[in-house]
Amino acid sequence: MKKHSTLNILKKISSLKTLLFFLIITPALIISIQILSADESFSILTFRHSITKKEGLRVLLDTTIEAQEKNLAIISVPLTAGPKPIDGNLTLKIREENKADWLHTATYSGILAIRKEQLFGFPPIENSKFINYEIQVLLDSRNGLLFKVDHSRPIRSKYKYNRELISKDCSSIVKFIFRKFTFTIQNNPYFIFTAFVYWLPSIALIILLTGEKKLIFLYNYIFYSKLSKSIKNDNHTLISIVKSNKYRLVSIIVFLSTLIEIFIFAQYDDALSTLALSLLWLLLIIKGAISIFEVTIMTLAMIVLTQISFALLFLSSNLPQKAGSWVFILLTITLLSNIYFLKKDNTNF
Amino acid sequence: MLFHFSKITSWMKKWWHLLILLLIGLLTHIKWSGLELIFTHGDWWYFDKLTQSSLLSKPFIWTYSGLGSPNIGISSYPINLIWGILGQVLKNPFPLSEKVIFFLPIIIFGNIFIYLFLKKSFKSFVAITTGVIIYNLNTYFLMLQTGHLTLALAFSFAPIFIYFYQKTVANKSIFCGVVCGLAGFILGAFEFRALYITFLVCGILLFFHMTTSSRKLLNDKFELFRLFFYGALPLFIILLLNLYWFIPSLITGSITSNSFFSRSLFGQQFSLITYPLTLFHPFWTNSSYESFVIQPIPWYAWITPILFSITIYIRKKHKTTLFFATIAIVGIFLSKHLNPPFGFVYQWLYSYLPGFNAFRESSKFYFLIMLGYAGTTASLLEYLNNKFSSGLKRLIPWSLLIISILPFLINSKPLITGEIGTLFVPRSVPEDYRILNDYIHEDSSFYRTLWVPTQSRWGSYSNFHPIVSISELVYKYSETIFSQPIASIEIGKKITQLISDDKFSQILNLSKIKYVIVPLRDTGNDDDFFVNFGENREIFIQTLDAVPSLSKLDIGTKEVVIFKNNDLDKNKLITIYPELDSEIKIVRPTTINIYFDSLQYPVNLVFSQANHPGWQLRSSDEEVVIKKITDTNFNQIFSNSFEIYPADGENNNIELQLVFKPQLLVDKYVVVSFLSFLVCLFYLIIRINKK
Repeated sequence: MKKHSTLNILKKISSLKTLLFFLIITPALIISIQILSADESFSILTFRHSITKKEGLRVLLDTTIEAQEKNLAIISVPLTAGPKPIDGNLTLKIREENKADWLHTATYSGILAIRKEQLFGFPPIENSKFINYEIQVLLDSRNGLLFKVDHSRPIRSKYKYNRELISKDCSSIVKFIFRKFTFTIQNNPYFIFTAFVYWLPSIALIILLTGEKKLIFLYNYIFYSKLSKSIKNDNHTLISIVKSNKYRLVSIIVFLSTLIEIFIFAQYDDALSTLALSLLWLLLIIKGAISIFEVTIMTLAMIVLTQISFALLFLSSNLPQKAGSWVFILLTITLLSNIYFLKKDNTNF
Repeated sequence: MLFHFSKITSWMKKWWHLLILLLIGLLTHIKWSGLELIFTHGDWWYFDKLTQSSLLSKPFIWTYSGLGSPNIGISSYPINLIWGILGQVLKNPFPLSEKVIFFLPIIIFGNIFIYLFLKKSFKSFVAITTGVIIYNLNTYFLMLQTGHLTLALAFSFAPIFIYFYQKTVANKSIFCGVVCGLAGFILGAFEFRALYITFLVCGILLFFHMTTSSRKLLNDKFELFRLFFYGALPLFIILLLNLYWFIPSLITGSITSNSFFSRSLFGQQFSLITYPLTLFHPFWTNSSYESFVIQPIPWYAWITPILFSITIYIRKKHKTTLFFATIAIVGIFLSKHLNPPFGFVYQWLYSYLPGFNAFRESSKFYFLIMLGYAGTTASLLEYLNNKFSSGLKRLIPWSLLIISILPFLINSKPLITGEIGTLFVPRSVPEDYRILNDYIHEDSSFYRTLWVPTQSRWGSYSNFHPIVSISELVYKYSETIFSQPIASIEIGKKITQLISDDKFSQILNLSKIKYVIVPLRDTGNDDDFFVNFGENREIFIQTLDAVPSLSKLDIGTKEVVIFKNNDLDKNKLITIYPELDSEIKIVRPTTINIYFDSLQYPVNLVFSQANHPGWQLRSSDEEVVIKKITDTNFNQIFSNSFEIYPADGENNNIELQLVFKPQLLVDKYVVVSFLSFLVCLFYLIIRINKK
């Protein structure tokens, strides 16, 4: 009997380890795929620049950027989407700073559809690295509606590499992939956050599986200098506190991650990380780590802080929409957990 | 007398809540009073007597409207029949008909049916009143009343369908199932998309019934079968009653591949999540009507989601509340279209869920939110009313009643004052159109009129004088005419390009267009559609003036300009080439008999309805060979052409029949639908008599 139960425990541990393995490996794979496919093609590197000069009525943009790599081939200009398509000409020009001649000019005529970014492509400039380029965007609209450059988002310069050169040997592939990772993460810090969120289930599992003593050791190791000796030595009390607060610790991490997602990365959206966070919220409620009351308070606080206050102060930003998404998610989670906890009976409704 | 009075007072005592709500409904729609006044705006079109009377007919799967097309409005046949009857009976039918068929039912059904539905779950006056006001005075429902009356009426009617569906499933009652089926049939006749969304509520109800029932039910196969049987019974009845158009439409492809269903998704920028979350229509200004201009959400619109959030916490063990909350959550999720979170789900549903491609823009799902919010807020008020039922504490539910309905009462302001315009301002038919309509109908031969850039709502039409709008022509046949699709912004330019093109005269002749009409700028009726076509009225007139085959006609109109197509020599529905003595008898729009006294040589028969494989020509003489020209080149898209080869030797008295084949299915299935309807009615009568 004893042998049998030991076997079960062993099986349980091994299945937990497998789960943990998948929870660590799968996000790594997903993030790698996301990073490698982040740009228009694998062989493109992207770098972002802030807009330095202001625009006029016809000149939408006149700014300078410093190319970060060789083979500058595409400039992406952030635009605000108008309510209707525009009938007109959109011209994009590029030249070296303080030079008279334009290197390339491209005009897009006719109906300019609503899009968030206008890509401006030209033959790759081989020795572009560390050279300053002036970029001008001009609009000649026939129906009076205007595109505007969105100053809240950066201009992006894109560098097109030759596929044959990348795949010449193993080291050049590795080098390029490394560069791709660093450029993409630098270009889009949201990747770091999504990576963290993808790993949150594994982090949560590790916290829940790790023994209390180990956690306290870790805690003391990190905060030793800041803690009084009485707390450090009072291991039994601490063990019981840690034991009852493991779920609470996970809850705090999930809660903070949600706040970061809403307040820091308001303009970004990643369905997978939203799903991961939502499922963790749901699990924590079902496990009793977070009460429905707390979720309701958070929902109400979010409505008051990010919706009503913004409406009263006439503030405009991406934040209310992102917060709105989370108000909806929290309402859904509350509802689902209510249905889960509902007493199943045959009474009609 | 005294007995009657006491009866009335006792009735009043019982239903005074409802009477107050009806009074609020009538008050907010006070601008709709006036039996002789015409209200028309946006998608709510005006019918003159001739057009309205023509709606009294059998159901046809083919319509002569425009260049002819499968009739996708056939599901609204029962409503059209009522329009037609009133058109025949009344002298000036439109003003009274729109009030009898739509305006009054929207107010009355909109209040009574949601009242009954909520009364089933809640008892207190404060709760039900709050729910009814939220349902009737939210910005989405009011926006529907500025132009989409079929949807508004369908959503007014929907609660009674859900009410009976709930009763069918809960009480396992065949009687309720039959009533529910008939209610669903009427709902579908108003607007089939509304019925589709209401099915979603039924699905949620059934799912909820299963998930919240004890395990005993789920383990009992017989009980489970009973649940599914009663759940499916109303749907089966609805299917039977709609069979007359559903199967033929599937066969003609008008359900799966019509231009309305194959358009790309639209309106993501108008469907940001905060709008459905607050049940606030993005174009609602609380004043005059502004289409496609996104408005900011006022702070007080957040009161409803706050109450919703509080309700699902406080009433977490109340099944009904959770049911309503589920409806609202599903509604918010679908109404936000492609926007985050999980916007890809909408795209997936649009691509793969049968019927979902009727929702290229998502605002129709607001219905679920208004129903969900009405139920959850009512539930909160019910809870508070029960909890604080004595002394000064009674003020708590009453205060919350005021807080919760205040945003909705604010919404009613532009309707009462009439500043919203649209359907809340009476319109008048410009004199020019009276003259024009009389002139058009004087000539009884078949021809079409072409309206540049688009038709006016005051233009009269019939099967013999269909209206074609040039903008529709450009959109529909852009790939054939211009070899590329057209963006909406360049429509004005493309219209002038088409008029100047050599093909224009050919199109006029092929589509039997006798008159080209440039409507007036109807600013008096707030209907100056020229703003959508580059404001080029004069340019259109000048360009038409330059077309050699057209000549200006003076029929006494002041502003409406009419051109006659001088090249159109044969304005007939059916033309035979080379000319031959024949008799053409239109049995009905989808069946035409053609008689030849003698047919000695091959002839070409051209039927002036848009090309469709469903049109077939049959001969009584088996030896006569008939070949349909199936080329889809430019000459063939406006008509169905047949080559007729007579048999060798004498060919006397040949009889041909031109039929739209799917109509035969309509004829067959209309019997099934009608019999089903009678069976349902008889069953109900017998049951009621027994009771």
